[in-house]
Amino acid sequence: MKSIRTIIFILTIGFFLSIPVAYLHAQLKTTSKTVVTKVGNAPDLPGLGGPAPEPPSDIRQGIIDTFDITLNGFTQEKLLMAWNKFHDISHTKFFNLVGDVTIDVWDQTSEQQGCGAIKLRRGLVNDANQTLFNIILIHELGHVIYWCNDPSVNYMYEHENSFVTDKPLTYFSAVSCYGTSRITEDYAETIAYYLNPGVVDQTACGSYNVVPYGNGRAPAHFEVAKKILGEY
Amino acid sequence: MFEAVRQFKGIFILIGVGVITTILIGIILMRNSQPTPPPSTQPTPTPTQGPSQTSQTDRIGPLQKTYPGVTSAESVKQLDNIIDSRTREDGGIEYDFSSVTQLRNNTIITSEDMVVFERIIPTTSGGNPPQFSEMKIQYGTAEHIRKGAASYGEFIETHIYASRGFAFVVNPLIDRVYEIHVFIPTTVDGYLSRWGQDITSYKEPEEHL
Repeated sequence: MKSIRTIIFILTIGFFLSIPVAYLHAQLKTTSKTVVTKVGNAPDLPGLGGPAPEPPSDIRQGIIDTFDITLNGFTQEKLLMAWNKFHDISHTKFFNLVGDVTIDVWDQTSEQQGCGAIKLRRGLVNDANQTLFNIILIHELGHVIYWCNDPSVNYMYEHENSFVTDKPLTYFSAVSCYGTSRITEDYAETIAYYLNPGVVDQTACGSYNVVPYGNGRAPAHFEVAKKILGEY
Repeated sequence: MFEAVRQFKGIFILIGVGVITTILIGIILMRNSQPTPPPSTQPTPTPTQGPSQTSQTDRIGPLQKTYPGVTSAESVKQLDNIIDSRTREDGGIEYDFSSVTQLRNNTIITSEDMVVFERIIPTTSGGNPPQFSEMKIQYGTAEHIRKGAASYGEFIETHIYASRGFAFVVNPLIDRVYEIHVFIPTTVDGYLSRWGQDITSYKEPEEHL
């Protein structure tokens, strides 16, 4: 009889305790907030960095599976370049900020179409060597980081302050070659050259012929890039 | 029956205490979970304004310092934290106040002893601008929407409530308000010609790279 009483006692206490616990749990669950507002799912990255592994036989599909980036119309050579570069930067926050993006090569002028789609002019892509291709690829995806994340995540305002402090990072963002906004171009350049260190600034319309972050140049830009992407 | 009650008296007392405790805990939790007031960026509701107004009286967020058409130029001079001021080509005086970005200050413009325009760079406590969808619930659909702005780029939209004397510069891709403009109520063309230079000077780029 005593053991039955003990069981009833424990069950009663458990029942009444479960009510406030369940209520509290429900409250916490409904009031929690997501910090990053980026559209798309962040890929489950291996956090590699460094040399890329052997690409799969279907490189395009391998890039989709690993990085959530779909490259349509790219040659095998360019897909391999992208595979290598994406692995090189996979230890940074880059892919978490970019999300699921499709990049198409086409015959018209290049343009970003919202958060999930970029069109690149065929000639621009096909004529680029690995160095320029890396810059173009990361620069374009840098625009996605700028436009498609909250300022608390993409450090938009800190970048604007660096634009005032350091002046434009590259010739491309200083003169706005194609008539695009200088500040958005500068943001994309900030991303592109941080993830391609040692590369001289290069565009179709001219160059300062300097390494944008070389010799302590543009320290405010560098600090912002590190905040956005983490250590390269 | 009574025998059973007597036998389990302790348990019944325990159940009674448990019920009372649960009710008390429930009451406390309910009180604590009462909805808190929305963030300070919520605008203060005011009656809808007609196009014949001569002043802007909607207060769009806590950073708004003036009411164009109502606030005197003299009172602007008394405001704290003026970091710069200059005379404009149109004869007005532009006062700058620091904002979250050095690239765009909060700005008040006066003309003929009256505030005529104020630009606010809004942020909430989380470091982000307010959500435009919330503004839209409050103020409804704009009279006119223009896409593109020279300083921001192609995706920016300016939602103009010209007859009510305010406009929102919005990044629609993330539903955030980057700028709030308040001004003496006017027409859409009046807003564009006097305060919309960043919009009207925008040109489609040759290549959107």
